[in-house]
Amino acid sequence: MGEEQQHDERALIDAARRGDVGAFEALVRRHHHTLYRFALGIARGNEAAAADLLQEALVKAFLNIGRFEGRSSFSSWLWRIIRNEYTDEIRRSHGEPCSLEEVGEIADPAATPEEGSFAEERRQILWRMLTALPQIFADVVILIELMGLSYEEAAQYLGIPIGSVRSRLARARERLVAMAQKERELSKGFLRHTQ
Amino acid sequence: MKDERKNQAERLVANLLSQEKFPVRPLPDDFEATLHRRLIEAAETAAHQPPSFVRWSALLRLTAAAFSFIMVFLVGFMVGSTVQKGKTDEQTSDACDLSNDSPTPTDHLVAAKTVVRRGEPVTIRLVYDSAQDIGKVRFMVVLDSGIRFRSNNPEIATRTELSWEGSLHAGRNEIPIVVTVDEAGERTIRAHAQFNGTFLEQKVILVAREDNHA
Repeated sequence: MGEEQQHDERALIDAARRGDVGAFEALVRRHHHTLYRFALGIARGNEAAAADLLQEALVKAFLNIGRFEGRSSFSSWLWRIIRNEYTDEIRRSHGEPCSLEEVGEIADPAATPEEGSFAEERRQILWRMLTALPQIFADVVILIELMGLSYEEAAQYLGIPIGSVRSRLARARERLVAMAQKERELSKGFLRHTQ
Repeated sequence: MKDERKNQAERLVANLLSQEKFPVRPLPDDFEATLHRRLIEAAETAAHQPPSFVRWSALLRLTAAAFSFIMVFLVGFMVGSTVQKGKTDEQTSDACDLSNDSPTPTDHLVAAKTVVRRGEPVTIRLVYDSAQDIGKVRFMVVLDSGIRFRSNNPEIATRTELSWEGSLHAGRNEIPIVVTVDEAGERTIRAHAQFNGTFLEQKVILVAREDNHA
């Protein structure tokens, strides 16, 4: 972000702190599409629910903007607000961390005619795995693998260097693989369907 | 065999991730208009009424997991400390805004640092600005070695930490604590306040010098 943009952002933040709704809208507008995609993922593609979820989170951010002190970038502060707001929704809709039972059986949707059912179970498993990860690893997986952001964009939202994004993603993948690897029998089931 | 299992697990994870990518769709047409209306409503509500947990809970549909954060926000804590040297009433550090960029309640640490005279009483004022009454707040003050509480009660005067349960009322709350630094050098006082899963910490650093330097 250029110096002029930073100055503009600071001015908007100051105005938003004073309750200026228009300033807050200008601040968050450029994040709408990215955050809406996140909301769509959480809301299982339900557009109305995703819009409601995002609006609710943005209202919360607006009400809390007085707490933003500028020690992190506005993008990363906003990301934390939004992600925290969604966390309960994720837990509610995707259940608690899993042991990966049955993961092998449902990993290949082509193995059964009941694709819809398997897709739902697959979602459940993925989210249970993600919620079992430490937040710093889950964030990079969500931003890069699921939302398709670039390393640079993810670094901006997380407020960390690109190199840290790469290393966190690598470690997150290792942990996900380790979770899957623990279930030997399940891996055999997975093989049956994929080979 | 081990490598094979690892490869299978890697393929499994890759499959899960590739098949669950979030959809890309345009924002609903009325998204910005609806957001605008909700923001205006929230701004008006916040401006005209003191926040209450019940109302915010309905507005934001907060769950129990978010409770402690909301308490921090609603309480609107400004925690700081002022230090009075002897009887001069001179304030040597301003109250510090404790609000943090992070919405998650974590240990907050506000440091105030001031120079005092060795051997003289110093009044530390812990300031809590609260938006509402809060009961069952656990307070604790811990002194470094070289600092002691000034009290006529020998039981208190000989202790290095004090803890008690109290409450905060809406508005400004001040808790004065009188100490003396007996040894020259930098000494720290830590003050904790804990309630509803929220933990706040203040750190006051006293640099004790001889009379002619303080």
